[in-house]
Amino acid sequence: MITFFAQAPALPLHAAGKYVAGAYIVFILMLIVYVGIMARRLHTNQREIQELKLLLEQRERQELAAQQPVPDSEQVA
Amino acid sequence: MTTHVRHLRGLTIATAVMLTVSLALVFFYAPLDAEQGFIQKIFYIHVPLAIVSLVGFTLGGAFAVAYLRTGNRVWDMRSYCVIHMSLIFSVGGLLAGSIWAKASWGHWWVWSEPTLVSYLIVILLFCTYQPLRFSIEDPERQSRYAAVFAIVCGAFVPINFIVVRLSTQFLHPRVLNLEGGNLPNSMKLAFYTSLLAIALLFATLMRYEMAAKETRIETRRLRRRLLGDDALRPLGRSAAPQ
Repeated sequence: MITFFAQAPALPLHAAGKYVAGAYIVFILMLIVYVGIMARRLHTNQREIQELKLLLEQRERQELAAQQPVPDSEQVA
Repeated sequence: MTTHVRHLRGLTIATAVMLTVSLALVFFYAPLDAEQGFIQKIFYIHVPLAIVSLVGFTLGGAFAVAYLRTGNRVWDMRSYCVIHMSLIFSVGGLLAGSIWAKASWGHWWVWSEPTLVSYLIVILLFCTYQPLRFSIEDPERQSRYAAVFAIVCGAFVPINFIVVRLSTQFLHPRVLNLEGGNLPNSMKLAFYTSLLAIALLFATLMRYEMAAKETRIETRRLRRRLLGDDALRPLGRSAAPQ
C-alpha cells in the first residue's frame, strides 16, 4: 500500500480541485442522507417490534394466570 | 429470513471494498487526461452513475413485465424499488455531470446537447412514476397501472439512448463504444472498477430497501395476527406497494 501511494501521482488541487471535490461530495452526501433515512426507518421498525414483543409477553402472562387453578376454599380451611 | 436479507452482509462488505479500491484507482493510479487534466476525474463517478441508473430504469420495466405475467407482488415491489433507486442515482449523475459541464464548458447546463437533454427527459419521465402510484388508492390497480407505465418508460430508455448515439452532434465526449473506446488501459481499469463499484452499491441499497419494506409488511401482518384488524392503524395512501 505504501509503495502504491509512493508511486501515485500528486493530485493537482488548484482550480479544478473544487469541481472534482464538489462532484464527489454531492455523491457522498446523497449516500449519507439515504443511509440516514434507512436508519430512521430501521429504528421505527425496531420500536414497533419491541412494542409487539411486550404485548405478546403481557398476553402470555395473562393466559398463564388464567390457566392456574384457583385454590379451593374448603382445602384452605 | 427473507430472500433480500440473505447475503446482505457479504454484499455490503464487497461494495465497501470495491468503492475504496475504485477511489484509490481513480485518484492514485489513473493518469491525468491530456486535454481536460484533473477535471476528467469526474468522469469516473458521472458516467457509472448515469449507466447504472439507465440500466435500473430498464430493469424496472423488466420486473414490471414479470409482475404482469405472474401476478406476484414481489415483482411489483422490485420494480418500485429499482425505479426509486435509479431516480436517486440519476439525480447524482445529473449533478456530477452538471459540475463537470461547468468546469469544462463554462456552463452548468447546455440545452443544445442531446445527451444531456434526453437524460433529463428520462429522469423527468420517471419522476412521474411515484405520483402516478400515489394517485391510485386501490393497491391492485396501483400495481397494474404502475407496471404498464414502467414497461413503456423502460422501453423508452434504450430507444432514446440509441437515437441520441445516432444523432450527428458530438459535443458530448464519446469515450466508450462497442470496440472498447479510446481510453488508455489504466483509465479503462479505473473506469470499469468504478462502474462495478457503483453497480454493487446500487444492488446493495436496493436489497436494503426491499428488506426494509418486507420487514414493515411482516410487522404489520404480525400486529394483525396478535391484536386483530381493529388494532391496526389505517394505512394512509402510499406510493409504495403495500
